[in-house]
Amino acid sequence: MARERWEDVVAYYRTYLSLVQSLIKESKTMIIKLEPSQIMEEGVLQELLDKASKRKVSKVKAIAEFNAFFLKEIFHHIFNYIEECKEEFEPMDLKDYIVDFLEEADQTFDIFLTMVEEDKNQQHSSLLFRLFIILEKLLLPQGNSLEEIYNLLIQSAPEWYNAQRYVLQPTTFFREEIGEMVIPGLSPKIYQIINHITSLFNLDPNFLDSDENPDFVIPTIMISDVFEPYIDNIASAEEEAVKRICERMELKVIMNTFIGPTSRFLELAEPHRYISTQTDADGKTRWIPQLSNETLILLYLSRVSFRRGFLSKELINWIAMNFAFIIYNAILHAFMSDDNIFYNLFLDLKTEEKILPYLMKLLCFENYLRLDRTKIRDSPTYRKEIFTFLGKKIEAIDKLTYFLVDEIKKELNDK
Amino acid sequence: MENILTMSLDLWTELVQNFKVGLEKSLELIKERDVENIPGARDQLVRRFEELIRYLPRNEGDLLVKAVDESIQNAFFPRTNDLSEAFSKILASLEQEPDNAYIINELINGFIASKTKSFGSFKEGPVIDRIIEGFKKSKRFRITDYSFYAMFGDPNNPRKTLQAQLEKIADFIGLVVEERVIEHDLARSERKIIKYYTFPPEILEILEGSYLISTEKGEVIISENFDKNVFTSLFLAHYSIQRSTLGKYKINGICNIFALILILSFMPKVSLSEDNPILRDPGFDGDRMSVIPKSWMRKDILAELIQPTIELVAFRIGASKWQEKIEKSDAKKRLHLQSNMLIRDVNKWVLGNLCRVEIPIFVEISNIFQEITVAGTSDLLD
Repeated sequence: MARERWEDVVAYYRTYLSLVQSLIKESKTMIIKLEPSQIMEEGVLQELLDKASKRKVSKVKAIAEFNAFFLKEIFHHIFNYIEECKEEFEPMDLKDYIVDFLEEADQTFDIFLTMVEEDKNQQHSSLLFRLFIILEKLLLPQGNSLEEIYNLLIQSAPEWYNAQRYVLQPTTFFREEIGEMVIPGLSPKIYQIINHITSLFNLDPNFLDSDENPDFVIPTIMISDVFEPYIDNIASAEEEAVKRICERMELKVIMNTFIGPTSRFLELAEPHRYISTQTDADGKTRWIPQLSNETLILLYLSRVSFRRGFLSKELINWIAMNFAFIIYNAILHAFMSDDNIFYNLFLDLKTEEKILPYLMKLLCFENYLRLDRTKIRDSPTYRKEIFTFLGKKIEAIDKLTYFLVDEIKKELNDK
Repeated sequence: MENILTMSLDLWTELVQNFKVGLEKSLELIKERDVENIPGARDQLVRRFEELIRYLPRNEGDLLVKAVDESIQNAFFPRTNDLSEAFSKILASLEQEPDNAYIINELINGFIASKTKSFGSFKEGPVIDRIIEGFKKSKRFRITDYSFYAMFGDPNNPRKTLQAQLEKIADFIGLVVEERVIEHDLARSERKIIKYYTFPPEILEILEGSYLISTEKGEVIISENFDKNVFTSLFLAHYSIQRSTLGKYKINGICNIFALILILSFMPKVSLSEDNPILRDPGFDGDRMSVIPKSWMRKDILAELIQPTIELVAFRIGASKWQEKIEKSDAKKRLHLQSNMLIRDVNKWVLGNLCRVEIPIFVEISNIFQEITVAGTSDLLD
């Protein structure tokens, strides 16, 4: 797949936005020119629409078709609104409201157009970059070591843990070859297994002498216990891949029977009291696990963040989509009022599928997520993933969106 | 008639007795080994088990009757034949107590996901979430199988697969189907049958006003609050009125969920010393959470407890008809064990301690027990 330059993607991203924005502007001019009483006559508006979307029958041009289609869409919202409210408001008020709605939509398109800085080296001042930095700190911080990233994630976990685990759990699972080095997202089953591992460590661990350090006695759990509740081979794939799953959380398989912590795990977990020590009668140090729900999940996320060059295609798309969606929605909430009749124009799949894939790609560049942007699916075939994403959205993501909205409003007030 | 009543009473007495035996076995196991890391936690648990053994089976288990009938059934599985009444009752209980809603939603989600090969698992993701989004994007509160495929279909799979899944899940949660036949479809020049899935008419009436709202400027929109609670309420209401005809899988799942709620409610809070690090952990919210002994999550202890509790709950909800359908084979007990993992989603591990989020249904059941034990203690003192 071709590796597109920043400028190319920016151009793609802006194309659709500017096309629709010009249609919004055009509609606004048309409505302003009308007398309030004409607003109430559907025939007049229909005539205006027909005139504006007139095109040659003999020659079909994509751009003319596109314009006609979206103009119809805009007018459709206007017709609906007039139909629903004609009893309630005076024509003058109705006209003013529609113009206000169009004005606000126009300004929002402006924000979307200007939030991306075209010059790749001037990113620090762009709105996209500023919003990205806030999100990145909470969900996928960058750092020089696994420890640094893990500490940062744990710091923000009390408030954002649900969002943090959410970015690890893609909703789609297309057939994909997962190589030895590749880190995939957490499927619901793996998530359940990790929780089960946490419980088993806390409840009733066995203790074994460490093979890495003869002075240590480490807690272990039996692999068979982890998979015991599964019947009918429901988790046989996971059972086979248990070694790889463990490695991603700094755990290891011992003698093909037990799961225990690596010495790296002990170093990482001890400062956060996820594991404590006790000295045995023979002078050996016994490590007692006292894991929290986030202990293993955030270790997995730290590894994802630290080794972001080795993520599966599914996970890359999922992370980028989360970032793109939260930023897109935050801007919408910040700059458009909830009762704007064109709100749905922005939330429409036809709009989202043309903006979000490019926003996702932009967010994968070096100044941003540093993910492999060639793996972003921008083909229309996969547009459905956007809906899949929406369907699974959880409260924590909404909370994060409103957190960004507050940040944007604060910034606007400061100006 | 009298004979049937006596038989039922005998069965109930037997179930209460089995439950008592289960408690006693669990108590023995707790006394054998201490896995607690908080001083005094095991003693507290032992005391609680002794109390449970002493008080729960008293008066033909009237405390258990109260807990299951008045608390659990009233909130989540009302005894009525009217769908809209059951729906309104459950919805009200979920809306008024969002925490109750959270636990029941999590448990039902887990229940559906626990059987991976079943219809509930749609590419390993919860299909109910997608149906919610389908409804949100739809006009007039209904979705079609075609639009559902357009939204969520996998390009690698034929449309039929998804449509069949949707049909099964719609039936599972109690949506109604309307078919519309188009004699001559313009796109393909052939006959086309479109299936519309929507809520039963009596439920739609209840939803209008609260979930379909008109904005100040006159637009009619589907409320943001339209969420899982509506489906959970429909799912539970649907089954509560059809309780006499439910199949094995559903009966086992529902009883499992309620049994877990019951057991969790009876567990004591562990008192923590002021210097316990858990109190300073940002993940622990002292106002809403309490540490409970972790021993009861031990596999061997749960194995003794869960089966008799499920049977008790089954009898209270669907009498012997339900109780007979509870799976007792070893393989199926594993399924119960698997469902126990669900409970970890609604509780939290904080620094190696199991913390119960004090949601209203737990508090309510726990209070019933508390009243009796306090009264029992004062009886003894008298």
